[in-house]
Amino acid sequence: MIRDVRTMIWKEWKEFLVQGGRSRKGRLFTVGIPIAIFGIFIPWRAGPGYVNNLGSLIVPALMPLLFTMAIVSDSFAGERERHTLETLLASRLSDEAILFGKLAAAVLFAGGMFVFMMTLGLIGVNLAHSDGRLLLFPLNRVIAVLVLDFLLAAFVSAAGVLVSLRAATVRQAMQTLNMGFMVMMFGSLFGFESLPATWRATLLRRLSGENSGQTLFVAALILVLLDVALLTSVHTRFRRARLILD
Amino acid sequence: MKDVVVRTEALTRDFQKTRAVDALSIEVARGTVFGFLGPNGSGKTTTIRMLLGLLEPTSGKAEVLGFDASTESEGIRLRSGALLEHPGIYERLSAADNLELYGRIWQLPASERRVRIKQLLESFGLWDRRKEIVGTWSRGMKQKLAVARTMLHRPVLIFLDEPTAGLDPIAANDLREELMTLVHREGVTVFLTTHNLTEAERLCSRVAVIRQGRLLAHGHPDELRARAGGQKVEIVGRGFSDQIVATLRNRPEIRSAAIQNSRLLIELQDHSGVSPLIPVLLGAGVEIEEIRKGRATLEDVFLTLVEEEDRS
Repeated sequence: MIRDVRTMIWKEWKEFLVQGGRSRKGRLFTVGIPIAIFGIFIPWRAGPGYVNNLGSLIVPALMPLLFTMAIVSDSFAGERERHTLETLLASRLSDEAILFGKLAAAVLFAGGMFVFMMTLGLIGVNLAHSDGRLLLFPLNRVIAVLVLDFLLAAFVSAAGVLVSLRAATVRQAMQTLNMGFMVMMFGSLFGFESLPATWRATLLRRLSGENSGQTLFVAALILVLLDVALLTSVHTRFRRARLILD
Repeated sequence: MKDVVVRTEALTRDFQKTRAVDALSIEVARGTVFGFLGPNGSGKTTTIRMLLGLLEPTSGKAEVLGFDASTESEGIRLRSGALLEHPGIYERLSAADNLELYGRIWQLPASERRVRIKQLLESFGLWDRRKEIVGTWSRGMKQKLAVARTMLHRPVLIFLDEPTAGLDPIAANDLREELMTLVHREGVTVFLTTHNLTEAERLCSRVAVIRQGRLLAHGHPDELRARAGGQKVEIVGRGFSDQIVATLRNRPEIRSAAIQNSRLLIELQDHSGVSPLIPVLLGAGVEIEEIRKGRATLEDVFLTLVEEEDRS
């Protein structure tokens, strides 16, 4: 099973990475932009305080989720659109290997990109502003963001696969996902704004104050529950016969 | 039948009010190329999907390589290869990566994978283009790559769903020849669906004819030809008349006779020869320019079966 999941990850990444073309220029462009932004520009502008700013971790954690959405939109809808799904389903791979392989490819890609961009930022800030001492992010903060990023990526991936299983085309899957996340984002924003002022103040205090660890734990717990519910739903929805006829 | 690899018993599949496959009962022997013939929409692809366990039958049973297609389909998919309606090639990947992927899926060891990929790509004349992105290839090349992928893990049974559909005659012929060379070299059983009767005639040792989900006939191509009629003779010349046709129809060795486009078409009874008819025709004043003998083709068989079906 693990070997089959690894094969699926290999395939998903290979397809995703070559979809922009195999030219040297294309590859340089793909790798060069994050290096320039997260490894040079942001750490250089932010100064030594870069490592103490929560945003330095949040942005690299959230950005890869956009790639995750692209990977998962393509997962089943893309295979169906390009007529490769039936051949894959006719192979020896189990339902779980196909499903978890596609999910793992998206989640690990998001996690890997986060670690890559965080490392770039650290190298950049140390080269520009270290003054002989090593500048590092607080470890507890790195771990908390990493865990939340993983759970959030799992949530986005599972939701994306669920949408992709039902969508006829990648475009349709991507539109539905974008719409869903816009509703969630603006819903949270407007929801927060519509709270009474005292509630908002309490919430902000909990997020930034001494109890932030407890708040993050609750957020992680909610994400775990959402992930489990979505993964169960995806697993129930994934049926070979249904996929063939959709 | 000895050593059966595919057996179906009253296999039926409904899609809402449409019956796609209707009580299909067939057997396919190991080591044969079995032709599953029928026009578009006759239920061929649905049958393959049920045999691979990708679709549940509405009723009836299918057993493939000793596994129940409904409950043990993993066993079937593990031991078989399939080229389905579409080639199923990843067009953004290279030819080598496509085969590498399926080599990994079938868990071939890395060293064996390398050797096997090289062997198959060379067999199909694709080795020099292995690093190219497949999306830029012609349909014929993609189809060859798909056949190579189907045979990569040395399956004992392969399903080929219209492998030459949409190919030009030269590409189709190339693919057929390369496919048959490989099939004979590797000794696999082939379940081939096609609506191309000439193709079936050239490749298959046994055939089943299906129409609107129903099995019309099943057997060796020669048996089916016999069912469609005896030996056919076409005589080109001058001086044919209705009187001559009537005379010929009364002779015991003749099953039917007709004039079509200034040619005399005769169907002989089994084991009858054409030579006794020559003096009769010459005596009646016919000038014979050419005599062509031929057997009933699978196309004749198919048309006869369809006519019989329509009459009943």
